[in-house]
Amino acid sequence: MSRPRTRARSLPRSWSVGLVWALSVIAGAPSSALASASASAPAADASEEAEAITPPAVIRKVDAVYPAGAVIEADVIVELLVTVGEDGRVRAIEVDRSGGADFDAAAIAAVGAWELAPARRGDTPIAAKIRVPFTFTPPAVAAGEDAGAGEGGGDVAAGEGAAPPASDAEGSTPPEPGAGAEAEDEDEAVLEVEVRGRRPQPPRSASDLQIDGEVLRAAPRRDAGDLMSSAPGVYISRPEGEAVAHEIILRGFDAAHGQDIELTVGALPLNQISHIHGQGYADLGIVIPEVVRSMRVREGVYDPRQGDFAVAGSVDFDLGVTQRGLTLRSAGGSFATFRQLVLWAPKGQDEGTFAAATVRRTSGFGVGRGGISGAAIGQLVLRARDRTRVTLHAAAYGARAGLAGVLRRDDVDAGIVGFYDAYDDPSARSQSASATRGQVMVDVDRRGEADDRSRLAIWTAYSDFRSRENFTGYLQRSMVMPEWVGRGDLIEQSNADIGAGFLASHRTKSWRPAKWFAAALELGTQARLHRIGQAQNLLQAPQNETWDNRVDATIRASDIGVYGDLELRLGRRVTLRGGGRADVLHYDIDDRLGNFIAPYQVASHIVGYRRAALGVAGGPRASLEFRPLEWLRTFAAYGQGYRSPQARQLEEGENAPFTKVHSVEGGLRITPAWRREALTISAAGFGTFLDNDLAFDPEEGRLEKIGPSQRSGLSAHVLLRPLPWLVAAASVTYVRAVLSAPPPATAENPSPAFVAGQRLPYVPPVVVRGDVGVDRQVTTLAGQPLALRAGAGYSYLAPRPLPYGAFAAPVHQLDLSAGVAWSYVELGVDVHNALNRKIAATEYAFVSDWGTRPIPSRLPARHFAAAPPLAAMGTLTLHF
Amino acid sequence: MDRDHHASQDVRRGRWHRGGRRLALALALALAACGDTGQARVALEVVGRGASLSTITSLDGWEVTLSEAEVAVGPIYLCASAAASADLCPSSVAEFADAAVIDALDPGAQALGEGEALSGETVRSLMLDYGIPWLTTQSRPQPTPAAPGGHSARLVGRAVQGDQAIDFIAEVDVVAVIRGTAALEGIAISATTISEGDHTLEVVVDPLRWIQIVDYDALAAMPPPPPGEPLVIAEGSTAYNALALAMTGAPPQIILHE
Repeated sequence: MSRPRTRARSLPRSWSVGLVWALSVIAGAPSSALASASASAPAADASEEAEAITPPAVIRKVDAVYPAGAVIEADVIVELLVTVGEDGRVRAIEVDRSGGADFDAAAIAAVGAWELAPARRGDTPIAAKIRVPFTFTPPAVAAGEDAGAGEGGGDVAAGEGAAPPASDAEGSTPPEPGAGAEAEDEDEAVLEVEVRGRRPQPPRSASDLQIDGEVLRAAPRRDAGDLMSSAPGVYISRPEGEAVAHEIILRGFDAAHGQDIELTVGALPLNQISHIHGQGYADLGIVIPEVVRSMRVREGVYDPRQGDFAVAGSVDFDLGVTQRGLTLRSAGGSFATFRQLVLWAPKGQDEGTFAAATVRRTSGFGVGRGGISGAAIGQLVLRARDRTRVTLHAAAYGARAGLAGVLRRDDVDAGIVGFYDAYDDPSARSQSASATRGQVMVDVDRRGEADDRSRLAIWTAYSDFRSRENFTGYLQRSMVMPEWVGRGDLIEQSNADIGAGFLASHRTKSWRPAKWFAAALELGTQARLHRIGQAQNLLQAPQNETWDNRVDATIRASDIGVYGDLELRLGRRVTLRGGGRADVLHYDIDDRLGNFIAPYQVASHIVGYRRAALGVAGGPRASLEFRPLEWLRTFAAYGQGYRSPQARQLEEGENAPFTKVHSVEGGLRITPAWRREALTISAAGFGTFLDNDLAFDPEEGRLEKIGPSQRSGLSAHVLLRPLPWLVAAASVTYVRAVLSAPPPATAENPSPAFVAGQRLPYVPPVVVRGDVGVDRQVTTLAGQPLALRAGAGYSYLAPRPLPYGAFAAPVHQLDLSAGVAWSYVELGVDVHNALNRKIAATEYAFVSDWGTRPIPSRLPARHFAAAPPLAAMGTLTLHF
Repeated sequence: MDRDHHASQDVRRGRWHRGGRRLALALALALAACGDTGQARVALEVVGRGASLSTITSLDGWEVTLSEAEVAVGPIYLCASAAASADLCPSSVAEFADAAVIDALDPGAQALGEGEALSGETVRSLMLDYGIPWLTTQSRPQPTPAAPGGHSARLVGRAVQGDQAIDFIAEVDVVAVIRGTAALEGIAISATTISEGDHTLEVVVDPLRWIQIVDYDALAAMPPPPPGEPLVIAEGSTAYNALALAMTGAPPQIILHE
């Protein structure tokens, strides 16, 4: 019988914490007899009892985190003796083999946060002491920082929630109970389980955060977009219904549907180039929230891996399922909303291996908001002995939903229309949207003997989008037939995009010419190519007859980027990371309505305008980390990012302009030594400067240029894990977002109003977020653990400035959840908008005419789209 | 003593809480109030004025005196573009989204209603209707309630030349030619930047300029009306078209001032 650590040494080294733990059931006796049972039970008796003993099973595991700033060349092994009570609680933790204070603390913090089902003799829960060895492998610090499905981190291989655990990730057969006992204690029945730990990516700034599943699952979430609410400075809403992408606010940016925020699932980008509904459009409906294991939020642009749309920052969804097994969930509640989920995470396989499918349908709150959506996502992670990991990813999504559209605030105030209603008008009642997306990715990741790493990921994605929305009522005039007017501004937009791309990178081994110096270089390239067909028309309800053509174009777009990232470690306290990135952006546009001939013009040519444009976006990214104290890390970072242009706005031969962003940040992160991992405080001051910003233009239903802008502010984030079963996170972000220069002159307004310090519209100056979650096993019932779960999430937005001097109402949103789990069954309830406040999911200011006044106003008026009122969902979950 | 100590702590804590709440509230308000978007809606008092005289000599030498002159104005949209039109002014910067009638023979200020304007914007042109807009959703121009008798203008007067006298009445409609546009577009006014304070939009109509170009000789040659009744300048007649053309070519004078 071998000791677990012997097996640990036989495993491949990982860039992250190579965490191997073994459960050694020392006693199958009641807790009172624990010590004596472990010390004096005859071998024969122990062997007999081992047959009947079920070891403790992990219900919820928290990964050990490689101690921040620790740089140890060799593996560090820590062995803990953990006493698991009859109720499954961790009663005591002893360090049996120390790896040093930092590593001991990291291991203790991790195990202390675990939840386990007690060991059993037959059906009777018993106390047990288990040995948990941790192997901390020196991290390859910079490699794979864009963690995701294909990244090496985050893969619990086996045993989660299962007793006895099944095979490990290496594909070995599960050890038999009683096998592998420790050398010095032949009486121990050892059950061996391998777990690969995850190490958070080394942050590039104080605002570079990994938000773990325990925080993401604290508050109820309708969808994957809701998960982003927990990131500092983020507010997310879905004002255009369930088939249109979320609108995201991030640290002073109204990122609309993704124009300023890079969203990825590993190497697979979710943002769409030149989408007709908004640059960077990213529909998160394809991500099922239950399969999101963690989320990395990088606010600012300081990492050379950050690509297109990383203007405000990047969010990467790390997919994985920690609770292995088959999960069936059915939920139903307010507004005839039902959701079914099937999630299969085969036991004994990598956390990244799973398959999930969900269907959701709702009648919607208020008028015209019904919808149906479905998504399926699956991953298979294959590991090879030569440290190669292959992730196969496939996902598909489809949705169709009605839209109530926006309402004039003055009409609601006057009682003409209700807050949750839609205008009683055929054009308003004909609004809808539908979307589909499918994507496939293969990600091959090979780690070398040292900390070198090579990676190749290839993906392809197809998406189709169609929306019919009327923002302005009855203002539009047909370009094709100018006498046609007043038929309803029902704008139909369609966008069909098929794209493919890849990521290839290699990181060298660390070069260590001196003890105090280490250097490593990563070079990478990313490319994506798309063929996009798009159209925009005006439709007349209710027959949806086309009465104007606005856009009919095909776009071929490509973005080929290269980056280099150098990491220099100068002693134990200073790390400099940085490099540069350059992207070649090419567009070929077949604008079939270009050079349009109005009916009153004499035809002198054939309508159409084909053009091509190319440009290069490049810039440096750098961050400096200084750790003056063990518990204090300080950061200074600077970087240049970009947003690709809306292709149809380019002219022939134009040096493809792009929005360039300069991002700077200084901050600190405090991790008190007295309770490492129990408390993390991050604070930052930041500034962001854009040379050309965009804002939503309701008249055309798309984004238009508004000129240069800048943002400056402060943010703070606190993560608190005071008890293993309690987690809390809170953040406050203050931003001053202003226009730096007057908006571009137009024929309609040759000198737009501008004053120095003019606020950017739609950007809330203050965003507050709090999450708290309790998940605790409270007792046992009929021999099965009974656990209670409760959570809350609260978002606050200060009044947002709107164009033309108006302000949106502040937002207070409180979501609550609670549940009880016993055996295979969990019952829960989720309450959204528990304060039942009338919340505007988004607000605009523009001109509209819905016929609600005898003579229409042409002054911009406040409009809003309502967010859902109080809604409750009951949930039944079966987990096997 | 302990109790006192705790009590005093509680009092202090209570004060701190109250003070903290006040401070937090003040801070929140201050942060929220920082949002200067550079523009504000300002009130626009709309007043009308008529001509100071009631008599004018026509181009063909008739002495024309108006006894009644009612002119409907509105809606009025003031624009930042150089030439206001439905296409070039999708969003106005000041407006009188209503219609009112002006006694065109009263030079005194007549309150017509309230409008609104956006501070920081510069007005360069305007478009307006004479009380009969043609909205995008209407199949034909529809008079507003303010339109006198459902018309843009109602003019009653007497033209005298020697021993000839013509009592006339004209009810004129001036409407947009194209649906969804205004009757009068592209009217330039001196560029005025709207400041933060309240403003007055003054609308001055001078019907004498309109009746001045009517061919009264031709009116005199028409069959006389029944005794005691005025000559009705009928729609489609030369005189009617002249008046409509004059109302288009000599629009009201619009003055925007604080």
